[in-house]
Parts: sequence; C-alpha cells; structure tokens
Amino acid sequence: MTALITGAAGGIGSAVANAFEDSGERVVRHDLRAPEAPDGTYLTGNLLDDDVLTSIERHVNDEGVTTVVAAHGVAGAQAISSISAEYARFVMSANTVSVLRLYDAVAPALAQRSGVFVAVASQAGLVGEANNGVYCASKFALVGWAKALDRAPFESRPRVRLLCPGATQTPLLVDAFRGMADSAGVQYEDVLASRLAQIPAGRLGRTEDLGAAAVWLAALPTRRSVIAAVTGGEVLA
Amino acid sequence: MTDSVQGRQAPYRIAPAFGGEGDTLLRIVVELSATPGVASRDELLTDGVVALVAQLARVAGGPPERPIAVDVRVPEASPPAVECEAFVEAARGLVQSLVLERGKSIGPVNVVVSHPAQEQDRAATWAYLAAGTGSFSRGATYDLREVAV
Repeated sequence: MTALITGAAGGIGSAVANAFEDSGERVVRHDLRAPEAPDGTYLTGNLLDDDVLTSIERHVNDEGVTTVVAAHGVAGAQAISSISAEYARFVMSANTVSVLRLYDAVAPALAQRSGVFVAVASQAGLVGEANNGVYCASKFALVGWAKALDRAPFESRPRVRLLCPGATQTPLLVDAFRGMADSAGVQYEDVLASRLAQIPAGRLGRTEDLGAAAVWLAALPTRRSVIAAVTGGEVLA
Repeated sequence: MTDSVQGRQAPYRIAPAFGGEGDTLLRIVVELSATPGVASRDELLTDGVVALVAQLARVAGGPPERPIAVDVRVPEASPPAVECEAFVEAARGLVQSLVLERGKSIGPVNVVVSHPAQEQDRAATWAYLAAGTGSFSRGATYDLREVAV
C-alpha cells in the first residue's frame, strides 16, 4: 500500500511519513520544496496551484495511493486586532483551502480503493487560543468540514480523519509561541512555561506521537469522520 | 448578493455592526448563500473569514460594556452545505480566540447561528444577550438551527 504525505519536510509531516514507512507502507512525500537530501520519492509545489494538484492527482491514480495525509500548514499567531488582511488570507489559504482542494483532487481515487484522507488540524481547531485567532479559524474550519461530511450519506467518498495535535515540539510551534509572545508583550519562555503547566502529560508532544496516531487513524475501518485530539490532555474533546 | 462582474452569486454578505437607540447589542450580520462551486467555497473561507476578522477588530475597539453578537444566517439545506459549516466553525474559533485575547477589555462576544426564517429564535436570543444578566455568556456559539433526525 502507498501513502502520500504532504508537508513532509516539516516536523509532524516528516514523522508521519517515517511512521507509515515503519508500518510497511511505501511513502511518497510532498512539500513546497524538496529538502537537500530527499528521502525516497518527493513531489513538490504549491498545493494552491492547479497544475500541482493535477500532477498529484495523476500520481495518486497511477501509483495506487490508498492513504493521503495532509500534514502541511503555516503558523498564524497574531492578535485579531492587528493581523493584516493579506496574512489572514494567506493562513486560511494555506491551512484550509489547500487541504480542501487536495481532498477534491484525490478523493475519487481514494474512494475507489476504500482509501483514507487524514488532515492534520490542531487542538487550536477545537478550542480558541488568544493571539492565534486566524490560525484557530483555519483549523476550526477543517473540523467543521469533517463533521459536515458525516451529515451526508456516506456514498462514494473516502474515509476521513482529522488529527488534532496539541503543542508538539516542532519549528512551527516555536514560530507560533514567538508570535503569541510578541502579540502579548511577553517572552517566548513565558509562553512555553505557561503552556507546559497546562498539559497534564507534563511535556510537549513528540512528533513520533503524532506519527503513531496518524497510522492508527488511517487503519481504522469506520466510515465515521473520526476527529482525534492528541493533546497530552491540554484540550479534551 | 450577486457579483455583477462575474454573474456569480457571492457566497456571503457581511453587514457592518450596528446598534440603534435603545439597542444595546451590536450585531455583525453574516448572511451565507450556499453558492455551489469551488471558487465560492474558497472565497467564503478566505475573503469571508478575512472580512469577519476586520469587523471583529473594528468592534473590539468599542465600549467594553457593549455586548456583540456575530449573527450568522445559514440557508436551510439537507444535507447542510459543507462550506457553510466550515465557515460557522471558523467564526466559532475566531470569537473564542478574541474573548481569550481581550478578556474584560471588550464586551461579551458570542456567535449565534440560525436559518434566515428563525426570527423568533433570534429575537429571544438578542433580548437575552443584550440584558446585563446575559453578559456571562461570552465566547459561546449558540447554534439555533434545527437538525433533522
């Protein structure tokens, strides 16, 4: 079986790709740009570009891909009162619209093979966060989309999963915490300490935690759109 | 809500917040239309969200005791339009974040979701939210739509 992982150059995406390989699946990676020493098959390009999506759709069809994990995304940690329209539009495009367009492109092929589409959302898609409003909006929108799919009869569509990670040790988290710190006028270390104190698990998530969760979600046969909050207990859903 | 340039119905309209004499509740009225097509969906989830952010930023600078409601009106459809549900959730997330961000420096902000014909539900909700006793509701999303079993 073959899995396509977007955002594979990033922290969680890379771990997800590794987890699927460790579980015995062949993995095709995608990101905006390939790393210097790409692992295996690597597709590149902006997922908002129609030509890139067409290429991905063709690859999914030709390579018999049965699992697609949309693990790409950008941070958006700015106060609602100060975020620019341009940046807000960028965050919504990157985190929501590109995921829905990817789904549109690959869903028919996945459905034919009883495949699965996993979108990496966030705990910030389940509960709002100060100084992170538009990022929250982008992830809440994915949750709304997934729930709405379930209200239609399950006809010819793939299984859908939403993985909602909590605070996980990645460069994106560092960016987000720095943005929150700047917006709130505090230090990055203050934000980090405050967040750690709120996590019952007593630690940040590790990318391998999310890799394991993605493999589990993809293996589930249920047709319900499962929304998994893997947050160390910080957000309970 | 027609885009006269492209002849395509716009997927949303956001009316500026208003409050008349005796009307203590500021409302940001968001009217969604279930306009089919990828372009409309993408516009709703980018430009529509950006427009709501702008309205929230504007009203958040107002008097801190004034209650604010994001009044989202979703057309009836069975099953519900997926893009409308995604937008409703985006509004939910924005308002939760705003409340956490601003605390006591703004009035209570909530989201109310209804179908256009639900006048009585909305009227009762405005009366509740406008009263002082309604001010402990903040950051909530009240979905008043009936869901077919």
